[in-house]
Amino acid sequence: MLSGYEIAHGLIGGIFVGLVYALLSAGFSLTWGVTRVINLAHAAFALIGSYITLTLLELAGVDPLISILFIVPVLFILGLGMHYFMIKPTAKRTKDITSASMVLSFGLYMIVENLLVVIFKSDDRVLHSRYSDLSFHIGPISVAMTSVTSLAIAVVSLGVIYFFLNRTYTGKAVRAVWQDMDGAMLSGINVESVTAITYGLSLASAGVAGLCLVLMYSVTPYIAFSWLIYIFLIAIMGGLGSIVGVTVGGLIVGLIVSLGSVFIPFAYINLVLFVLLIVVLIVKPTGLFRR
Amino acid sequence: MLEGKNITKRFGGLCALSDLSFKVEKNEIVGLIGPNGSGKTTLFNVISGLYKPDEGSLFLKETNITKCKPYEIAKMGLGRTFQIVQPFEEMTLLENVAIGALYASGEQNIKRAKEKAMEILQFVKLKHNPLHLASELALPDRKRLEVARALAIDPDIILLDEVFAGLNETEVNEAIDLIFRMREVKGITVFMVEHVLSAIMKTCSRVIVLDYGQKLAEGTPREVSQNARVIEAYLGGTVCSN
Amino acid sequence: MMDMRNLNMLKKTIPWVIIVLLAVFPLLSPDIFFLSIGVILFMYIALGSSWNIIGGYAGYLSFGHAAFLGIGAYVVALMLINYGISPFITCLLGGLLAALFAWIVGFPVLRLKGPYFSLATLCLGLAVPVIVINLPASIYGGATGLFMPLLPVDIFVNRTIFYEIMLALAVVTTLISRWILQSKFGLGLKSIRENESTAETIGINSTRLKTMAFVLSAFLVGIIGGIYAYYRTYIHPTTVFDTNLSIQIVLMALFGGATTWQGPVIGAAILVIIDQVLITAFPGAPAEISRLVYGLILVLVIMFMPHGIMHYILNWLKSRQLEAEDQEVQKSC
Repeated sequence: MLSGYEIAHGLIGGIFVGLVYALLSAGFSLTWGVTRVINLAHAAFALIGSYITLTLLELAGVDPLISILFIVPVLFILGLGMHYFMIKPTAKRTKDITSASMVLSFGLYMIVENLLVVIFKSDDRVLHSRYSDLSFHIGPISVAMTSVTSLAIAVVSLGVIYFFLNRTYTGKAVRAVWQDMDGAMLSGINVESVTAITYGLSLASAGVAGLCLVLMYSVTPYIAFSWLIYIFLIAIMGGLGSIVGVTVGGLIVGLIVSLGSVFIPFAYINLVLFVLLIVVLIVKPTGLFRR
Repeated sequence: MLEGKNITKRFGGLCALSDLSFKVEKNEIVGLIGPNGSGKTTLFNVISGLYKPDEGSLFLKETNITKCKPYEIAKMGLGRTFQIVQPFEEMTLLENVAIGALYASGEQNIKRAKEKAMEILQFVKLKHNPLHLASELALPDRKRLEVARALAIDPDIILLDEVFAGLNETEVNEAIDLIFRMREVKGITVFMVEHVLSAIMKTCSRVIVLDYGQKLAEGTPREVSQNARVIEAYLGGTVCSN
Repeated sequence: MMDMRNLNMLKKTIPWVIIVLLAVFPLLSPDIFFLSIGVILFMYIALGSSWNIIGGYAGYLSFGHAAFLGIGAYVVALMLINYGISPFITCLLGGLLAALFAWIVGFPVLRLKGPYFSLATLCLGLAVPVIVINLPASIYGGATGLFMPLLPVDIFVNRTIFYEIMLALAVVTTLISRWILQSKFGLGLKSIRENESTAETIGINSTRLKTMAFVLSAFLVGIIGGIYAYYRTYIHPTTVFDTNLSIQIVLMALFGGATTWQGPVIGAAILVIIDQVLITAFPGAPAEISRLVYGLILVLVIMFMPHGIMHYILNWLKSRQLEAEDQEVQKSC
């Protein structure tokens, strides 16, 4: 018999996971929306964030919260590099950058994944930080401090991205390029640098999401693929390039995963998600929260 | 030949076409003019089946085609070109034209379809090597190719969407000649959207004027050009006359 | 003129000579290792050529073709285990069921365009093994997988049989793919890839053509899957419905050039050989090194040749030929 306790636990867990997945998907959705590039390596970059956190803590005892200061610039630069050295030269040679980008980024995904295996071996890694043994109580339900921390990071990061896109000049330029590339070019926006910034932002947010995920779960270099599935679901449900949409999409996926595991075997949850995705794609391919 | 009755098409809250009725008789050359955004291309998209009208009905050769798919309408003998030319760039000129012959005019043999495509390419006076890719063509030749592709389906009526736009005077005259030859040699009825008014004056026997998705006026080019309401609508918009 | 004809003759004969040489290769009693590579190579060529019908010609990049492969594999395994019918017969049934499945799922997914189609097929490829794993284990083998009895011959003969069958499948699928590209069907698919709504306005029933291409592609992949299952003798949902396999097929076809019939052949050949060379080049090194280099090669090739290798070779050949023709025309004027 299901108790209210289990359901409440599932609900809270779903919200926590959902928002972290939303952060993970935000950058993917942004690069797809702005540059028509499907970055299959997105989750692999998140994993770089996870491993930076692990390494800094184990080697230098750096608090996971402090490691954000390392992750953001490192992944931002990787994002710029990806744009200038991979996407831009490829886009010059094809009209169909979307198809090309899928193969291109799959190659990149293989490179990152196997580099991580070479450096860190393929064992399960768990982060033991000062948050690991603490927990937090909401009524009778206890929530691990690690989850609370990653929730906080995810919410703040999503807020920062939202603020950037809606309140700053560069952010508005990103949105303008996403809505109408030619129009943006005509109105004097430097599409080139705006796209580069989008990549930087995209990978930086992925890295931070990787930090959140390693706070909550163990990781291996091979886990990126299963994250990728959630990213697809959330980005498509949310509608491309919409932070609000991605957040709602993340919550939906998080709640389905978390509440679903109360009711049905875990294997079927993915099935539910896939069917849901196909239904969403057919009914409203522009995402549930866009126009 | 082609008839629309009380056609309405909405996009969201916007009425792109409202309660529009029109008729094109066999062997006519009818012009469709109007300011930008008056619904000309929308009407062509509705006629060729790319959009479904919200209300009203369409008849092609007395058959109701309101609910037909674009390919069914094409097979019934309606060809069209696009305002923004859309050749199949990664295919040769010959293939571009042969496809229409293969799929709409019932030709099964690929060799015969290509022979037919060669004839049509000559008919539209496209002199570029037919084995080259369409992506190599410049605009005037792209327009010729687009007309050739539409002709390959053996149409009874052809919708031309701004074929003169972007052409110089010689090229416009060649295009006008082509339109007359389509009618005289192949017996094709022509329904054309045009901005170049001088060309309309030379080619069309009748002109329909659209404004805000409604029919503003209809008549011979001379009558229409002297119609006060038309002049008013155009003064509000932009008139391009080369 | 004589040169030209000789050249064409040569171009036509060389592939057949290569095929015959490959077919008689087992007579040299080579190491089994080479036969195994042959089986994998021919399988990928066959899979790539089949995938290309929908993915390359029509431009509908399916990332879920392992679903069809897995269906073929399971049909063959179940028919052999339960009724003792030879896989060489039941692989056709596997193909038919894969085709039926493609026809049914084609209704919704073929309405999607571009990356949305790709993602929907990817999810489909992930969903099917979940269903299979959770079917009753007594009939379907469930999570433990299915074992098939071996062919009652020694290992060398066994490998040779599968080598020859896969070679035949590779040749047949490539011929089908080549024939389609030059047919009315192929021209229609290409026009869908170029611009689907324009294609409709010149009489092309795009839904019908896409469905035909998808179903035919699934049928061929289902047959290959059936043979592959018998070759492996043990199948499990995670091996025959492997999403990595789906992605490999796409990569090989795009790498070689998905708009051409030669693309999947070249792509599969190069990538399988690179894979093997990398494994043998770093004998002591872990597999991740070779996978890393493999990823690097993919990135570099797509960066510099986003349309695949064959596309550039063919365009180069064609432009040379056209130049020569243009010159001749000028001379005669």
